[in-house]
Amino acid sequence: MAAAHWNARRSASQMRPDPATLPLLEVHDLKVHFSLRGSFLQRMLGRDTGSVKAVDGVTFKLQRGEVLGLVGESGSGKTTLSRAVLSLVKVTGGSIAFNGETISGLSERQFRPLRKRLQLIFQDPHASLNPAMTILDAVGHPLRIHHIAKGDVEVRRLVSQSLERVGLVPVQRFLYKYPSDLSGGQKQRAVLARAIILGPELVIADEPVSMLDMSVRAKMLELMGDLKRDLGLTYLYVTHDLATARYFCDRIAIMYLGRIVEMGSAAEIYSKPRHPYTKALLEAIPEPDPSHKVPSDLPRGEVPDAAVPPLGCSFHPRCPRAFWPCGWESRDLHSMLEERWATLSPDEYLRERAIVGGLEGLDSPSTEALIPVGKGHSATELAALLDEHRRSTPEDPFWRGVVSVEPRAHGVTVRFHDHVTPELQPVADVDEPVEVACHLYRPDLAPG
Amino acid sequence: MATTLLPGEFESGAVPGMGPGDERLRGLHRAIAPLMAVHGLPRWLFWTGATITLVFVVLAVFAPEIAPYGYNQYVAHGIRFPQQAPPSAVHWLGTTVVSEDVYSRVIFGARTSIEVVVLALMFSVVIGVPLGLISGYFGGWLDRVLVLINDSIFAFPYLLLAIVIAFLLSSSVGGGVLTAAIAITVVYIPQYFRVVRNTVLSVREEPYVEAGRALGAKPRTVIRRYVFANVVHSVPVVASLNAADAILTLAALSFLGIGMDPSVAAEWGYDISRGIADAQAGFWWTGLFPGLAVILLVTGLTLVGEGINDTFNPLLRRPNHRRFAMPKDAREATTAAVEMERPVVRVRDLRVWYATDRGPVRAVDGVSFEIRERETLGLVGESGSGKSTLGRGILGLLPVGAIRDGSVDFEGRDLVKATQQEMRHLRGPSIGLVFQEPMTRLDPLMRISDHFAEALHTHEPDISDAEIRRRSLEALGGVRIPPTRFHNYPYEFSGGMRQRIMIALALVLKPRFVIADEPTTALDVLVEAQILSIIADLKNNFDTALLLITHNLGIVAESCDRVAVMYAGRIVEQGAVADIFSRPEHPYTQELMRSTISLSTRKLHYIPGAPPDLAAPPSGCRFHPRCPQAMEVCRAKEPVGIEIRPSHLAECWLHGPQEEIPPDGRRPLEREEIGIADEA
Repeated sequence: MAAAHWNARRSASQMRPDPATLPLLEVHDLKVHFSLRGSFLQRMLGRDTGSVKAVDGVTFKLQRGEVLGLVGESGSGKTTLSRAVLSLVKVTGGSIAFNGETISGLSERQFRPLRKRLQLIFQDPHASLNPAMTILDAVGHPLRIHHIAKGDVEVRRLVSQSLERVGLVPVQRFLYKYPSDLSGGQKQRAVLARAIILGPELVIADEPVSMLDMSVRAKMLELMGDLKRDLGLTYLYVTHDLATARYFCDRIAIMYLGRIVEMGSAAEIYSKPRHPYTKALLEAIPEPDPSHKVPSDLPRGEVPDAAVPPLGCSFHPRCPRAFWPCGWESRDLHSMLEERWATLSPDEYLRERAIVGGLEGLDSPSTEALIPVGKGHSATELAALLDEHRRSTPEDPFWRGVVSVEPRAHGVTVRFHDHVTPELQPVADVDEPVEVACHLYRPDLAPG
Repeated sequence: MATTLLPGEFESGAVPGMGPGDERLRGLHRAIAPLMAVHGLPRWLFWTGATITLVFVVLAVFAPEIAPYGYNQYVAHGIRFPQQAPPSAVHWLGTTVVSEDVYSRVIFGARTSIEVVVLALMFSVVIGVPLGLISGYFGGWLDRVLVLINDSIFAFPYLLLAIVIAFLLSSSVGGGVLTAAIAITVVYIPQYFRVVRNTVLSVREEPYVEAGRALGAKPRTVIRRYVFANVVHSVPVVASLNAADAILTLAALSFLGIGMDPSVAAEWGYDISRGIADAQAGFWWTGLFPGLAVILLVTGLTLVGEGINDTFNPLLRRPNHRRFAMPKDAREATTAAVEMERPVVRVRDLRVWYATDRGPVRAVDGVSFEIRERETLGLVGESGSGKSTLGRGILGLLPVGAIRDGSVDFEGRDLVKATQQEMRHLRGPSIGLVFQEPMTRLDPLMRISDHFAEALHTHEPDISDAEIRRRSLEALGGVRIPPTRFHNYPYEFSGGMRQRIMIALALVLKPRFVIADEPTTALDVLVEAQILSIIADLKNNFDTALLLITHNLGIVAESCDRVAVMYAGRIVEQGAVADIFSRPEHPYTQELMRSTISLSTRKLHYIPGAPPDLAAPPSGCRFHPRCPQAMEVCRAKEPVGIEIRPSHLAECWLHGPQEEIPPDGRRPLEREEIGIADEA
């Protein structure tokens, strides 16, 4: 009976995805926020403890038969997003629709039948198979859970078929093995076999090859491609590796701190990356070619804390091309000072440090920041110091966000431009559709 | 020969003696196998304990048949037994003050103890384990309530608790075996609850549990087959140690007179309490023998428990360190290396072999290279190539049971022959290390400033605080960590910053030689680029010689001057990066480069087969089973290093030396079909 699933798909596999038809998966303004535990006192008093906005307003469509790559580094929210689609974490806002039906917000009981059509393969082949189950048990478990097959003989037959599909042959040699008896590549194939045995329509692959050796990755990708063709699968390919994503995906969505910053056809994204983050990601990849050197002016810093993300565009603190609307705030001032001090000699550092007072006040985000002045120094001295900074690094994007630097009684007030939060907008005049969430591409905001 | 057997597999493809249908047996076999395999002291202890326990169990079960008299019997054939008689032929262990036979009482006492303890164990397991499972898996308010209850019980002095419960129960239910069992049960439930709950908490986060949920398994199935099945191994240890403890608790209860009604059963503790008065009068046998019985049984059970723990707990398992030595011919074979002018470190024929049950694993099997100052050598290889072992082997940071051979020449001394003491002095100020996982290498309880102070003090005891601060800030500045963060704790930094701190810590002592083992593997690509640029700077600023171990060819092309490609414990090719990348000569290097997926990859390529088992590597060239250009000689003889062009060395018969290849050695090798079953 399960064989019918596979055969029926063959006809679907040959079609090119048609944008006019109903998308297989449609995600709209999806939000997944995890509330933080907070301190004991906060919880006792019932205060709001804040939340980590792992996914913060993501919208995309996935057509049947295509492969969409969700690319991002750690903290981008791509893994949380994939778990939300599969109802393994709770959705805080927005909606997910599968084949036109809303699936977000369903109870586990309502969602369970859908799991036959939505499957997941994991990153770590060594940890995604139950050590206490043989390959037969593990790959056959979905059949039993969903009551597809009755009886051991039927289960064994279908499992053998699935194992043959993924190339684990001779089947007899693998059925009764435990995961610890298999190599990494074999385990990943078993995971694939388990995922396809029910004939799913959508497979979410979470870094399926990143823990495999280079010499084996290609085999796995080839297998996944064959299955896509033979079984009419649609993939959501979640990864941080732009190189394999380029080979495997039709469209790419680049994620940063819970939002999609650029999305479009793979050809367009790789040939003409638009968002500064996308550009940086592509330039940062070390190529196995000694004549190619990674540029030395890549964005500094790291992915910020998702509990209190930067104002405006989350990437602005690291962006070499940020300008006034990108969301400058007090914490950027703190970082600017710290980064500068890291480059000074100990004496210069001490001299400057004395002029500036405590910096804790700069840690809550605000477009108006008061820097207290150090003991024994005046506000005008501090303002002069900041001016010196500006003159010594004029190209630092930070200063484009500063409106004014005014000395006050006990410190200096730095005012920033109001921020504008970027939204994904389609880019005009392109062969294949591309959307970017970046002010550089908004004619009304961008300079020149 | 060509088929690579999976670990634990035999030629026929099955575990001997078992057919495909015996799945349950297979599971049992797997469970017992470690117990059969353990050697040395743990095995001896376990079996001693098991034997003792078994003896007592037999006594308990067959008490009426073994004991010559009843436990309360004081008369036989109308003749009353002597009172307080010493051990004799009739009464082997003597008699008590009320003329009971001590020997019989000891045997029936065993029965009581075993009965009570088995009941108590059963109850505790049946209640404690499911509670621990549910509490650990579901969490939330249920978990908090259960933890509170169990912790309260646990915190209560256990003997007092048992006494109170026994007291309360005996007034309502009576003072029998059941009462004692219940009293003991309550005391021990929290132990199972805790152990199971903690194991569940760690297993719960495993990807395979998430996989079970993603498949649509109901919570009870996930708990049973995915969580419990992987948690159950912790229960037998707790059970056997609890059993030992329970014997003592029961004895204590009876000693205090609260345990069991003496008319209902014999109990050792009760006998001991009566024996005290006897001992004062010189009658030593009434208290001694029950006491000995308690000690023996408790010891036996404890040995069983510890034996199980030692066997199944991977952290405690001590591998079998059969002393072995490298065969002489292996040690004499020399490997060629590219010779440099005044190298900082000179490795010659380094071998690192590990002892395993299957024989020695030749993780590094004859490796030679040199590194100059201000030079970075990239050591690239896949998993199983031996590259990490090589890094550790140079530093002597190997686990017990590994042996080294060859020489590592550094600053005039041979590191292989150096003592532990000498190595300790060298590590840090002369040889620096940067590891893969910066999160786990920094002490979470020490500030960064303390880390630096410790590093500097250890190797320069007279250094002043001001100097420590100056050099630390200088090192941190070199990796662009702001001085304002000097007094922070490691948790206050992100992953990339921690790795930079690790690099700064390695550099603050200005070592001449640094080994970096996969320093960027756990980091994001933008952070990786930053770290690589810092690493590139350090050789310029500090004249350091750097050995960079990685699996990523991109990193090698980006950051290294020279590269050595490792396969199955040997360096198959080494040379300048520009040379090797433009003209790779060894088939493995060529295959590896073709398999690397980069932004410019148009076509996928992979290497069929898997790296060989280093306990039994292939004959001749180790790559020959997978090499598309293999010849007959490749299987027959190990290739010799050849300098193909200046400073570019490869070990491959395709490049000679010609005179060593026999007449028909050039015939292409008939390769066996490599199936998926043999794949990596």
